[in-house]
Amino acid sequence: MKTILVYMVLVGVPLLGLLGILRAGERMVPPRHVGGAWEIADSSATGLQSLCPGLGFPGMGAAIDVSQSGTRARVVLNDSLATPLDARIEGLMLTARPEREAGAYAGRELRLAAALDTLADPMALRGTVSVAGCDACPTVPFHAVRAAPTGTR
Amino acid sequence: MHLLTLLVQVAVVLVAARAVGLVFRRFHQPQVVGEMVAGILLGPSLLGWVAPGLSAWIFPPESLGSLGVLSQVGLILFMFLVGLEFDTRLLRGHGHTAVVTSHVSIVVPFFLGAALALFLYPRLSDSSVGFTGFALFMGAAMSVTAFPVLARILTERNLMRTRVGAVTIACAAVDDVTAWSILAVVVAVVRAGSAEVPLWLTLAGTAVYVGLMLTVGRRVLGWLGSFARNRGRVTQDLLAAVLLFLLASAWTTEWLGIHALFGAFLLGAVMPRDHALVHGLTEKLEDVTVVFFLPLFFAYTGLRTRIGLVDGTEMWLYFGLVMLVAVAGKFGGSTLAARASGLGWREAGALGVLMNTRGLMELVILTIGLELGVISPALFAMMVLMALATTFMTTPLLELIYPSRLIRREAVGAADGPEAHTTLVSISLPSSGPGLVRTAAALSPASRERRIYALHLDRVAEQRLVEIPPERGPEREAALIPALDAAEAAGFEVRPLSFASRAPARDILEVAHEKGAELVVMGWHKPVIGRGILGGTVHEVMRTARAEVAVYLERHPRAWRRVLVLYHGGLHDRAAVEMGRRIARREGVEVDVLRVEGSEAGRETGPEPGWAALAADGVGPRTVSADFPEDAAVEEARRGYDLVVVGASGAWGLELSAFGPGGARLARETGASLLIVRGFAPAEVARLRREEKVEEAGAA
Repeated sequence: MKTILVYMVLVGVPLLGLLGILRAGERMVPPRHVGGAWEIADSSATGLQSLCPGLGFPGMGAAIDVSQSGTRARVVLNDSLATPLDARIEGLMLTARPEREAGAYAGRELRLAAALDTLADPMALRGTVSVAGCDACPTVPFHAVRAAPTGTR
Repeated sequence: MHLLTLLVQVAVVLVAARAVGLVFRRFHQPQVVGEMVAGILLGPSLLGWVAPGLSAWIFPPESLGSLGVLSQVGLILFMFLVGLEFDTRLLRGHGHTAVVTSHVSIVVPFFLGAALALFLYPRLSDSSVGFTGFALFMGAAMSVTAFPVLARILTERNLMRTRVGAVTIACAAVDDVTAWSILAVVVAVVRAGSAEVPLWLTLAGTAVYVGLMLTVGRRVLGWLGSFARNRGRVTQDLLAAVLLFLLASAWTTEWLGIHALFGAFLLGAVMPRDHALVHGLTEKLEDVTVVFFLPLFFAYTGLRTRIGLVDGTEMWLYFGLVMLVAVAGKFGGSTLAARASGLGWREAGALGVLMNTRGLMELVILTIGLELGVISPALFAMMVLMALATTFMTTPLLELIYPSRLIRREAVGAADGPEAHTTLVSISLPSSGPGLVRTAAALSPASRERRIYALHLDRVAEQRLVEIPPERGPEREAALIPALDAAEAAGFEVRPLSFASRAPARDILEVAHEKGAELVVMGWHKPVIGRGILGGTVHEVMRTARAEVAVYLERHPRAWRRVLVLYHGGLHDRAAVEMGRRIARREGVEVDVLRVEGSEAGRETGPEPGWAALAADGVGPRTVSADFPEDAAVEEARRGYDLVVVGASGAWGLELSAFGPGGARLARETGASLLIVRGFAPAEVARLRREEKVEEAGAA
């Protein structure tokens, strides 16, 4: 009898609780998915490449890798420096700046701000790239589209 | 070029895994924990951070595909071996304790993991993953137990034969199967959103496949078992057939939309439990899997683990929550269930600590989650850290809750009454057992009841992946069987003791103390050279035992007819004479004492034995004069004696503090068996310890 009671309390109650959790979770809204590879598809790519003297930036057709963890993301620009950027996602907006250890940009800070265009097909990121601390560097628009996903199967 | 890179990668991974694994072993941690850490260290968390150039040269991103494939192959083999070790017999005979505890140890952490998902989903996940898949995955990841690591820890700590060990292993086996079944459903649910195969078809196909494997598959595999039994081993053809089945099973479950690893595990679980087949397959596959493939998997996992993503107060707070939920769910749930089912608090706590071990099984599940995109890289890093922490904490927590001293005491049992003369015989080689127990029987005083314990210690050395010894008693221990048979034939009783040991000398001394042994008998197997002529364990026991010690070198198996005792004076020589007297009375054989005078070399002071009383027992001394006692001893010993009994004293080159090569002369230059005796006096042990300290200080 005691065993049955213990079983009911320690197994039955959590199972019922689990059902409640699954129902409650259905209403939750997670951050927008921006993770994965994005392909730069912009006619102003030449402007991006000459964004800042001494610093490369991926040109047209190059990929930007976004590794997302909730509202945070790590953006790797496939430029000559494989620049990693620390990104934040708020709603449809993504803003990124270099990780602290990215010393190559010391004194000049690459900034990326983009909005997720969920209506576009394929989905697109539209925004601007600028270099803070560099008067000669222009703010240039960029446009990247989601690269075809690669599955595990 | 690609092959060259891969070869370098494999070499680096193997070296790092062995080195870090050995370091962890020195800290009494399972080697696999060190290998997991080595994988993390090779990734961006350390090597990529401190030496990005070197990291990029060894592990260029474009080359990681080959490493990934190798690690997947390794995981398939590993899961097959885990399934192979799953034995339903483990579940029998433990009643409701195992049933309740195992179910609770899955459901409670699963529930808490899902509850944590409510908090983490909006913070560490994204819209590409549905909440149901995320929550179910978190639940499954929290409820897993590292069955292989746990089995290893149970064996090393001699818990396998205790009640808590038996219940734990049964619970872990149930957890394993349940967690993998749940995960199969989770994978199917998550993949259903993107795969072309609908969920119902995946689940129905899996159910049909499992049913087929349990019926038709088991019958077909039964033929393999018969084949192995008839041949007495696993032939290369049979191994190839099993590997083909393994590949087919892995391919089928991958195709069905769950994962290749489920097929591997399922095949292992339904393999016939034929000893020749299971043992043969394990023997052939285990080493290469443990030594070669698993480190590659750990490295591949480490290369995708960025501890740096757990950055800032907020992220460390999330990690703290993950740890709290993991420990509360598994440790707390299992402990409460075990206690409520009738185990004592100490046993229930030990069970909870053991069940909390996540080990590499967690890494396998997390890898699947990362590949599916169910968990984000930051959450993956946190969960990897949790897996390492929960595995790492097992040994120290277990020592705290259930000290090995206590386990050993329970395994060894209480001391016998003072009326019996207790002898502990330490047997390492089965072949030496008969001679050692016969010696022990002969060395017991005839005036007292004799009680003899035969102790075999399993050295904890190489890590085994799936090592679950059958729940046999020490009387079934192979190393003790010849000794027990010999005792039975000779008509005296020997009580067997056996357990795993990291420090044999310490354990022999502790068992001797627990049993109140007045005499410890050991074998001399080492080559007769150098300082360590008796080997480290024997030397250590000789130096520090709080009992008499006799070390026996058997040169021939025949019964002793003529025995020579050497005497030059001192505690150990007096003990040797006393042993000679006991042999004379127990065995009824002729015992001569050679009393060497005329030299002060190595002479130790002390009272003379009672020669008159000895003479009454037929042990009479013959006194000779010699400048070098050892020469006289060797010359006398050559005169047809079967056994020479000698004290561990300087006169015979057997000083306990030095044990130089001189003592080897008696063994090398005579054909007689040798019995080296160390007498016991508390003050003498203290003196030896002081001398040892002075020696060590001098060496330093």
